[in-house]
Amino acid sequence: MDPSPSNQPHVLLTDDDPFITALYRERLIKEGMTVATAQNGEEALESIQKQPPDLLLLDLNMPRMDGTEVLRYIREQSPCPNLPIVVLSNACAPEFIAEVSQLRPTRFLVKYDNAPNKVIETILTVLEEARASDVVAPAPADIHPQEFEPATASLEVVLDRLETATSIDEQRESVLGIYRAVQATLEHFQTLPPLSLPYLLEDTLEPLLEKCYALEQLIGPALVKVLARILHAVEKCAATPPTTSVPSSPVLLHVPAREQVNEWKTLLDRPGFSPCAVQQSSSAEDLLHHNVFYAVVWHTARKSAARKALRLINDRATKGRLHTIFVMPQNDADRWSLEAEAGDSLALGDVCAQEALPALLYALQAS
Amino acid sequence: MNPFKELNASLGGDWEETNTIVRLFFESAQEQLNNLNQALAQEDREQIAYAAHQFAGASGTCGLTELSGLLRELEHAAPQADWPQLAQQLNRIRDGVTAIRSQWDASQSNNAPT
Repeated sequence: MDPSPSNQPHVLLTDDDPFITALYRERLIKEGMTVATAQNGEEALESIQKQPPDLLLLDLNMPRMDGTEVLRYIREQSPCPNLPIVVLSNACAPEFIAEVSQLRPTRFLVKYDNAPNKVIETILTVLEEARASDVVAPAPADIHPQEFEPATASLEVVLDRLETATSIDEQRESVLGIYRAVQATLEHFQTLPPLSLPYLLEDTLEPLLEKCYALEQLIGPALVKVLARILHAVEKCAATPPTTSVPSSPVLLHVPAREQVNEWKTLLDRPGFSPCAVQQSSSAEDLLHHNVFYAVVWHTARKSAARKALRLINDRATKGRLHTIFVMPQNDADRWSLEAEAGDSLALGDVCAQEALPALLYALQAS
Repeated sequence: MNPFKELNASLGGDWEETNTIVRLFFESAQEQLNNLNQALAQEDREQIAYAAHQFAGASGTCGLTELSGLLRELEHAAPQADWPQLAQQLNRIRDGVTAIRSQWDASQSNNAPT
């Protein structure tokens, strides 16, 4: 294939949905671009080899070779590691978000939240940035426990990103970064002598979390509640440094997918937490039969199921405080956060086990 | 009520552009409903989740948030393989598409999108 004529930007659209490729193909041609399309990752890489694009619009969930693999290949092995890549995905699988963020997409857009004009605007902006700098520097890597020092500098980075985020999606990404940063920081604190804890917490984490909390308008009530709980637990921890940071508490897990069960078990097998008896539940009625647990993690795709579970949990909670963390689709979590509050519970949207873990740890600490 | 009012607004009020996208959407919707029917008949939960995921993205792109929400629910429910429940959800989705189609046709025949 011949290279694109003159200075027309060349864009490669990769999506397995013909509606999406047809839609954006027309729109980009109208904007004066040349456009190639691919229906899966293999076709995308072939197309890039034939004619490297100026920008790749990339879906994630595709057959044969998915978008994450394409992104990884381009960033780690291809001759064009700095290729501008706009990910346009449904992003309903939380593990994708976490994995993809580490692979430095230039932008990450969610289909549900972005009308066609917003996507086109983003493509034009990224192309403009690429022209301005000649080589597009990849976006800063997402914060990940293995990749940063467990210190407040990391929190400051994610807080800065939160304050400058312009879309809900960017805000969500930043808040997930905060979860991870707080989690890793606390893990670091657990390795320190107990006497140093109050100073460290009061002087570092607490002010930062207060700053987070002040962003209520920006991050929404459900996330503010998470941060409020973290702050409360930090205050408590600072006031009376515990000999072990987290009690050894049985947790009841209601998780439909086996992979998620294993993920949770791996996460809960940790210093300061073990031995943690993780019991697995397959239905809401299990809440009545298991009687030795202090927190519940309830993954569900349906609000009605969560409502039933909450009713049972509230009945049972009269015997003692019981914290429940519901993990559900983002839209449901946003709508459901107020109902969940009534039961000393928390609704988190579209998060993986690792991202929900800080909320669970603090729930246990507070109980 | 015009179900694509939001899409049109995001396109700067360009009805010609909106018409093109809506036509593409209905073609795609018909195909996705066929895919979902077939996957349900074959009790293929992976295919249901996959088609629902794709259809949800297209619906969200067109500003059809309620339909997109129903499809995401279907996608998340598919792994549990509760076939009567999935059939009910698919019926709701089919009815939703029919309603959107009727509203769109009505808005076109009135030639006065609201």
